[in-house]
Amino acid sequence: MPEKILAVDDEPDMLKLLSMIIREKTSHEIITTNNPLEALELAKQGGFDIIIADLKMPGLDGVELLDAVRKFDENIPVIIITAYGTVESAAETMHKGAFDFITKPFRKEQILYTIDRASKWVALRNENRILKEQLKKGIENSQ
Amino acid sequence: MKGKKTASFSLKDLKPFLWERFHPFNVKSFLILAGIIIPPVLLSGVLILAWMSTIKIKDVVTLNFNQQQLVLAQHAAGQIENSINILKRELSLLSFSPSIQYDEEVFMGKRMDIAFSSIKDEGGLEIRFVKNKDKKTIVANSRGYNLSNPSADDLYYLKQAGREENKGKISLSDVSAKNYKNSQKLIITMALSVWQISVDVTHPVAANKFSGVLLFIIDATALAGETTKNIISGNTGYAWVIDRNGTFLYHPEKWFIGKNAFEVRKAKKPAISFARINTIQREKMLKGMVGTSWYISGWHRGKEGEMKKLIAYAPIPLDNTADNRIWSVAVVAPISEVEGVIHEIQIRQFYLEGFTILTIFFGGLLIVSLMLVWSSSLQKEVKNKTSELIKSESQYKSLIEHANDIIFTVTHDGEIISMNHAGRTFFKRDDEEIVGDNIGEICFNEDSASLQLKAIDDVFKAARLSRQITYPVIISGNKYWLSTNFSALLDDKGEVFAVLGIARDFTERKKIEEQMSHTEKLASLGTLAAGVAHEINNPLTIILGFTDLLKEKVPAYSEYYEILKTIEKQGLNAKRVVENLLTFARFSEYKEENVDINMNLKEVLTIVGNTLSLNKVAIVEELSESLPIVKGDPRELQQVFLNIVNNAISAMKGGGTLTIAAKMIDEGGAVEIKISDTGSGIKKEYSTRIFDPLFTTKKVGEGTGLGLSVSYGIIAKYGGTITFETMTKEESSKTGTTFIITLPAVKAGNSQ
Repeated sequence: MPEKILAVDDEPDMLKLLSMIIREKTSHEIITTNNPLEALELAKQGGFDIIIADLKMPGLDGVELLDAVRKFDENIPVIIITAYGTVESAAETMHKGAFDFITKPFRKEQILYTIDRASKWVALRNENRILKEQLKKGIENSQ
Repeated sequence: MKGKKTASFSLKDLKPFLWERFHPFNVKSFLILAGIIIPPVLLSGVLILAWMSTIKIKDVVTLNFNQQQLVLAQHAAGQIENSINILKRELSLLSFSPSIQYDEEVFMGKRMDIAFSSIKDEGGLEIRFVKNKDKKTIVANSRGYNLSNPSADDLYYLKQAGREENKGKISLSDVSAKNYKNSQKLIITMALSVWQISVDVTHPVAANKFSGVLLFIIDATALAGETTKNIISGNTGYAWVIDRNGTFLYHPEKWFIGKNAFEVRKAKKPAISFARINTIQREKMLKGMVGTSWYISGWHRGKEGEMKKLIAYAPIPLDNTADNRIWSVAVVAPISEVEGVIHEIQIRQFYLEGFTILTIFFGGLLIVSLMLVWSSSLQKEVKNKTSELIKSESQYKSLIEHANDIIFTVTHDGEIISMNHAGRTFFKRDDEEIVGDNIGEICFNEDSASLQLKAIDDVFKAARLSRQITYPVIISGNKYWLSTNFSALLDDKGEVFAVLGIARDFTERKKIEEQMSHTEKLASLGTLAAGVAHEINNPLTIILGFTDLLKEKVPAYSEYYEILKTIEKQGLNAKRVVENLLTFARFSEYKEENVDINMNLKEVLTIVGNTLSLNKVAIVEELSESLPIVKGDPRELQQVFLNIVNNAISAMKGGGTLTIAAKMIDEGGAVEIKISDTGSGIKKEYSTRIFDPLFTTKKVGEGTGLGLSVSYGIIAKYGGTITFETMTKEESSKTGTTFIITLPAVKAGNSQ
């Protein structure tokens, strides 16, 4: 099932690359922005299944974005990409609830693999939700 | 300067000095000797002087005493002589009386009575006038006068007086014992012939006829005793008188009177030799000499026994006739009288001498004992000090000998005076022969030697200075590092006599420090690189990403495809370089806190999870529950784990198993972490170098050679160890490497 992905990075070429990889290699839809505040607004409006965010961005960094997103959506997978590939930053973002942490430069397989996992996780989550709803309905019907 | 032990300064050197100066034997023996010799010498001297003085005093006193006795004797003799002269004068006067000469009976008696009253005090008993005319005797005595018949003696004297040659001559008889009025008396008779030569109214012309003889009957004892009885010489001394035959005329012992002195003494005390007194009597007294002497007597005033007496004697000439009859007066006193006089002086002197001697003796004794006490306390003090010195020396020796540091002393020239056990062991010279060697010549290179000698020289020049220097030494071909502190050893004048060196082998620390310094250098380089890396990573990602995408759009093996592949390859190289640089970006800062190893290992596994999956590496976790907490910076420890895990992944080309194990060891004293891979193993030739900085087996661009050396530094910093076990396919079919990390646990109660 094609997902709707929101990608945010202060580097427009990076967004261009991500868009190209996703569009060419997956059936997912991707919306990009180089403004993290705009990304937050977009995320708030909803409709995105996966968020890909750069860690270091002017104005609002990836972790802050993650924190902000978590306030209104607990489940949306946020994949953090960074040029600061340190253990600490990776550990921090994972603690904050990032879905994964990808250090630049990454291979397209790496990002595709992660998106695929996230997609599956979203699917699983949706399936889970539907099943729960059906279960709930079933229970309600049986009563 | 090869002479051994030239400047050693120990207790042994002090001993002769102390011995000469403080050894109690000399002082003590001197004092004892002085104490023994001086008092008796002084005592003898004082006694001899005192004795001589006593003798002298005794002699002087005796002489004086005897001189006084002589004066008494001469006085007595003079008195007696005077009495005799009075008698003679009275006799002459009476003979000139006309009443006597012319026989005028009535007046004659009265005249004689008057004369008698004049002589009775001089011992006169009677006056007799034997008349020639009728041969009758007129007697005048204490009862008056009367006429009687002449005695035989009267007639004898009358006859003698009648001779012409005796005319006008007074004759004295010898002393003879006679019964006079019923008592025995010593009688002398003084006779003078009477001639009618006087004239008076009745007899105007002298008849010149022989008239008779006038006799004075004299009690010799009374004559001699009148004066002498009162003489007392000293306390009990007395006088006696003998006549020319040696008969006692007077003696305080009445019994002696009338007896012969030579005989009576012998008769009374036959055992005593009276030779001396007899000689004096015979040779001196009876020959009319004046003098003083001494003799042995057998009695004195009722006391009997042999005793020495002093005697002074003087003669009493009786007449001037050819007979030259002499009596002699002696004044005698026992010498004890004199001694009695000087006895008190002697006693006083004795007390004075005794007191002086005792004062000297006890004073000397006191001084000697004080000096002995002083000497003894000094001896004790020296003994105590010596014992303390020995104890102190032994303590210091033990302290120095058992010290872990190298402790040595050297002269100005660097000659070794002493070196402790740790030093001898360090220099592999575990013998005393190292003493005397030069510190600059043992195991040092030229620079180290001159550095040391310079430091020693500096300390010698400025005593207060202490120099700390570090330098390498070469022992058996191995290089060690010493850090030595040189300080001055001062003598009692405050001058430097040696330099004390305390050296510590800090080779291990030096290695770590060097490694750390190297690491820190690299870390700061990494920090700088991090900024650059970030900027490179973004474009690199974009380049690689687009290259990858483009590669799919051009036909494979076409010219463009090859170009894209080259771009991709070089991009990937750049990526690896940046990755490695980033590894060090965060190394410099750290803080120590309590670390949960399990949690950190899990975190690392989470981070590398994707990489492991990509490389088909399976994970086996063997993490023991309830691991003790360790001290460290979790980021640094994670860095270590990540380095090892990354190496493990690299070693497992085509996949494998990564085993992460952690358990408690040393009864909770430490934590052991094992990270094992099933990779190719480390070649033997590399195994000694894998912790060296910048050593890498990876291709250029794939590894920096920093990971393990940094890891080693981190683990060592927290007091842990990092080792490895490895098997290559040459050694075993089961290849792989296991890194074993131990970290000390935080002690219970010490965790924060």
